[in-house]
Amino acid sequence: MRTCRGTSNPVLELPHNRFSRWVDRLVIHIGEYVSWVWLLLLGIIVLNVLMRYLLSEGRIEFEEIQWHLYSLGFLLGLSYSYTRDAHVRVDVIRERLSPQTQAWIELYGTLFLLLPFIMLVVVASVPFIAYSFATSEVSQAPGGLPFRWLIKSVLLIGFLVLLLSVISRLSRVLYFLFARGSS
Amino acid sequence: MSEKQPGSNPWNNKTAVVAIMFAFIAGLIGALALRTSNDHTLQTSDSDEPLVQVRWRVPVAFGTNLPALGDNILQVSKRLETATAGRIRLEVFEPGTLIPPFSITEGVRDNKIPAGYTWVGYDQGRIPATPLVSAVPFGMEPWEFAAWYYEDEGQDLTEELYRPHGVHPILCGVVGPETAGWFRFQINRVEDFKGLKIRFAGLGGKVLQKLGASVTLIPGGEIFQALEKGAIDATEFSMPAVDQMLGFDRVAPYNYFPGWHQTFTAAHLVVNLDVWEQLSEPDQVLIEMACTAGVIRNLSRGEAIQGAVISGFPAKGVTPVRFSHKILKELQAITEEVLAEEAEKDEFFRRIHTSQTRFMEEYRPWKDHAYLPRDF
Repeated sequence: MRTCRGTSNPVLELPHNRFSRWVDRLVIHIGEYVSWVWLLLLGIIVLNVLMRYLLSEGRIEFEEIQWHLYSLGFLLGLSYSYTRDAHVRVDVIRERLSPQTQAWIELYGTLFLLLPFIMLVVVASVPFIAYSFATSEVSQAPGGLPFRWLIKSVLLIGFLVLLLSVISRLSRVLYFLFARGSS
Repeated sequence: MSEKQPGSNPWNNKTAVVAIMFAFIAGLIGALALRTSNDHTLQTSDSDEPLVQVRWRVPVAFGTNLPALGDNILQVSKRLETATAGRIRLEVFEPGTLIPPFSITEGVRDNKIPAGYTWVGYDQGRIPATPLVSAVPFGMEPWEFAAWYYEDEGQDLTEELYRPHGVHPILCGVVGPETAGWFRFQINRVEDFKGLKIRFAGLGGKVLQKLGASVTLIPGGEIFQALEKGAIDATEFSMPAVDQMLGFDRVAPYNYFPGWHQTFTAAHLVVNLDVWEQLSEPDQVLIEMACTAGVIRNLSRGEAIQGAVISGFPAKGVTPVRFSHKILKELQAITEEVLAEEAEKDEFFRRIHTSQTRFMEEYRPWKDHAYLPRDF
């Protein structure tokens, strides 16, 4: 991703450390495995459409598994795209700043906005999942999928993995800003 | 790129860590402050004069532009506010602005919101018995339901059902039967339901599923799009006056009757149990009175406006159709199977179903003798 940017200023290259290397490898692995759900999702949609229009056999299970897989794909894809730095940035402004300034913005953006947001989602998702589990929540649609807490748990898992990859990147930013040169 | 020398960096590691922790904590506090506060009841400190301001944000499941179904809560809150000179105020929030329409009771339970106005059958994924107190296929007629609710066991059972969930339900609106759905094509036999993709709420949906339909539940505001694009073949939602506002008549030419799947439709004001118990008794009674009035006013409004809508169908190219007696009998047989199955799975479902069945049997002689046949 980084190479295809127009570079008027040198792009921020954050140094890795042992922790960040380990975490990033893990997150990338998870992301790559999870990306197979898109193929599975495609298959199910095709099957669903064929059954409905050729055999006129609608299946709510298939409809619901589609949004389940979609949620799985994008909630666990969050951390992947964060680690790969493939998410959207306001590049127009960012490109004009020095790597030092970029790193400071990244540091404060992460601390002020991203981490608190992740903490909020994590904290709020626990009772959300617990209530679903305690009541053995099922889909409201007749014939819908059971075990609603499973898909709700993906919210927590996705954000915990994102938290991990954010901490990894934070460690790289800190290393870049403070520890560079002292070693 | 001018790199700083290690010595010239004004930040040593300790200050950096302190600064970072400070930033993080500030961010966290900032984010928590953005969450809405929950001080919906402002107590005045004077203890012998218990004048309590009640300000509740009340999200609703149905748009308040929808006659009978949605506007009832506006009337209830307005009357409460006027009667208490503005002391008790329910501030109504349109569907989806505060909380997703199907998550209202969950939000009330978690005290994210003190109260909400909803059709409690939307909770059936978590609390299987809820459709019984909100709409039952081949169930009671509206006044019969009111009799069961107020004079028999209905209210106690409903409150008991929600107590473990930290929610206090108050019956606050009832309307008569809904239409049995809007279809793109005719249904002449129960077999015609097979393969149909249909939006259908509650226990009626389970009946259609048994007939081979694939039944989905989407919020009211999203039905028209789904129907227009062909994502669903048919839908039910509410009474003709409401359905017409949602535009179903423009995309589905057959409107079926009678509303076998919802012979009555009840709406509840669901209040967080702690919030409810903190209210003084006079305030509790005031809110209950407003809701009881809401029930009869809701029923009146619902009944008042449907006839003209159905009369206007031919001009719009809509055909109102009644299911044949045979189809209804078949639907009823399947309904009984579904109710028996649900009762087997859930103890509370069984209790409420048993209570309703017993009451309907007790009521039956009166129903059979007292009322004129419908064609009079």
